[in-house]
Amino acid sequence: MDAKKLFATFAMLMLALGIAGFAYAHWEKIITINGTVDTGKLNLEIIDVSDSDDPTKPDPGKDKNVADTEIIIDPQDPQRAIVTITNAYPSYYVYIHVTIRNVGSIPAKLKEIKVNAPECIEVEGWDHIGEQLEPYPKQQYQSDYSGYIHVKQCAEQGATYTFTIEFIFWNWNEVP
Amino acid sequence: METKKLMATFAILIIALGIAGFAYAHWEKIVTIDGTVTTGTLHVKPSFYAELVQDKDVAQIIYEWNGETNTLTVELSNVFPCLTVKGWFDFENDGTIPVKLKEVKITMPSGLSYDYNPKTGEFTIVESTPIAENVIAIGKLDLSRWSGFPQIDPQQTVYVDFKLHFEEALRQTQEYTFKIQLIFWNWNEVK
Repeated sequence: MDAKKLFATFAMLMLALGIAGFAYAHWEKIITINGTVDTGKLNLEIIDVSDSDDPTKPDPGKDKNVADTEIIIDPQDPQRAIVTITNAYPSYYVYIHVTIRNVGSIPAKLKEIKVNAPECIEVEGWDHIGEQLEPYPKQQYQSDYSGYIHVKQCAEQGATYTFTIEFIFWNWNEVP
Repeated sequence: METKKLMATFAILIIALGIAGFAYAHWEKIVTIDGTVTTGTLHVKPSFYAELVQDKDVAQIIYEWNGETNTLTVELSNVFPCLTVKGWFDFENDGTIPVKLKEVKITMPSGLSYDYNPKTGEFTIVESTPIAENVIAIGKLDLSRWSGFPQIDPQQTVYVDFKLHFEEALRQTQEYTFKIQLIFWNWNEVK
């Protein structure tokens, strides 16, 4: 009898352990981290342009209204301004201005200004190297950048010259 | 085994992010100003008219304009004392830039000289000989029809009226060759 009880107890124990073991084998706890990274956007636009040659007044520094300068924002590309100077002559000069706004979501910094111009046309671009433009409209921040165009003595009559000024912006943290 | 896979995936992810991070570090936006400069033209087109005041058809005048060399050639022949030549030059600015007369260069033949009074416009031509200095011609330039002298605006035409009278001291069978150059510059470069 004792042997039978002992056997039964052992069998139940084994059964219980088996069940318990089976249950332990399926214990599970999952910790999940779901991540989403939305990157920002570096984007700038020209919102205003102007030049120093009033079409109703004499040319800058002169006594006659001879040459004309027109500057517009490219209707197809707000990151591009188009300057057209007509009937220019030696020593004609004009200043141009563009107002640039940060319309992206990342602060931008002016890293560099590149100028490409022919020998007989002096072109300069300047202002605010290293200046930071905060995103709009978080801060309604924008800045003016300027250019200077001067027709030198070696310019030919009846000729057409082209030039480019590039304002190169990087995400702010990469510009010293 | 599962742990190894997990670590490998993590390592790949880190490398990928590193690569991505490197690329993103150069986010760049270029704002461009493209410009075109078209220069104007400077050109002055002269013309000339002259007539001889004489009661007989004795002296002759021929004049010709060469547009290629920008030269006006005037030939007076069989000239005699007391002959008067009168007429005008006109200068049309057919360029697009205002011009200003910068300089007048006059090359006289050997032995001849001139004197010009800019206030009155009167001039005399003197011939120097071993014996004496003789006034062989007198004349006058009238700039009253040159509005804005010495400047000419585009599409503007100005006139210089002249009168030349040969004097009694004019010698026979002589040939006088002279050259007058009018040098125009764009107006803003002439003080």
